[in-house]
Amino acid sequence: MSMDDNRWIEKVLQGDQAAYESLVCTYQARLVAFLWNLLGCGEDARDAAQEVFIQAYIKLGQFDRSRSFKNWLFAIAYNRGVDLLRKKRSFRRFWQRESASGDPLAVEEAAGAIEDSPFWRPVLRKITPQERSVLALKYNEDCGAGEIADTLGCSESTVRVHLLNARRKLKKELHAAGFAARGKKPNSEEVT
Amino acid sequence: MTCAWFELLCRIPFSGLRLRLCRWHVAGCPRCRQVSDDGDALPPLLITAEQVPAGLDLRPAVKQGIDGLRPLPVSPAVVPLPARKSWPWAYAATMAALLVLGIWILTLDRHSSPRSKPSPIAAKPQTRLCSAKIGDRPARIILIQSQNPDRSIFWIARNNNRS
Ligand SMILES: [Zn+2]
Repeated sequence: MSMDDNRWIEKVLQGDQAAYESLVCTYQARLVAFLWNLLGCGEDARDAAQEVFIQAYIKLGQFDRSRSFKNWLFAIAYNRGVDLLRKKRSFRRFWQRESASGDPLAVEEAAGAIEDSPFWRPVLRKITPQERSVLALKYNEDCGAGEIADTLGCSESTVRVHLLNARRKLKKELHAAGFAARGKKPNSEEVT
Repeated sequence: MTCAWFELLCRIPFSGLRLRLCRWHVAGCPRCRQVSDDGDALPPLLITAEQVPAGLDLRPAVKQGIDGLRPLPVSPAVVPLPARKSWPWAYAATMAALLVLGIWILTLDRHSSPRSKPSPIAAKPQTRLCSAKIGDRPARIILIQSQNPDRSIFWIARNNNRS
């Protein structure tokens, strides 16, 4: 647990709302990146990160300070991300059902609304949200298996399996797509 | 590279079983643990914090969202959730016991089903005829069992009993 985090949390709990901005400032870019990798869309990631910070603020009094604030925050983000993906999937299923009998124009509009953003890396679609989260925490946040397990609420062995599986699948997909072993870095697009 | 066992387990078609067996294997395989701890060999596919535009600032929106709110009060005793541990032997034994129990129940059900199966007539709600008259006199009602459970046949007879 970072001492700085602890200090800011203490201030927030004493009623200093402005102190929370320091925590937002510290983690916003990392949280957006994590959610971006999980959701595959920068706009969704930004909106979700906003919600996560608000949710974390409300729950801050219940935060166990022997834990890492970052892990706790990312755990909220992970749960929120998985929830959003589930809703998106059921929305997609709903429209697929509608398209069989419904108004084609309405279906077309709706399909456009849920279309993935162009910067979504297609190859990352081949791995599960859990595997994407594990990769993001390992490679971006430099977390060990224990820390990832703490964030995602699963066992270390599960984390390791997700990691090994993700690497296997990505290697296969990249090979099939003609990327070299180290891969070609796709362009990223900006969140505004 | 992961070990041959892991590669083999990854071919199991049922995802739930596959994950459980892989987890079990990885928990006890030093090679797979070592490979999973290695940080290299991933192409740069992930979005990093550096790729998130520097101009991104969530503070105004978050401030607006939390304005007037206060964090929920500190809970009296926050017990940290323990990380789930894998108990491969306990898990395997439970699964085996459940499997045996399942087979036993299926066998039992197959043996006992013909005896305990209720007859189609008994299972159906019965149609009852409470009273009948021939002319202005009460008549006897005789229910005749039919082979067809959807049909009830009643025999109405003149009541010769003059009591
Ligand atoms: Zn192994």
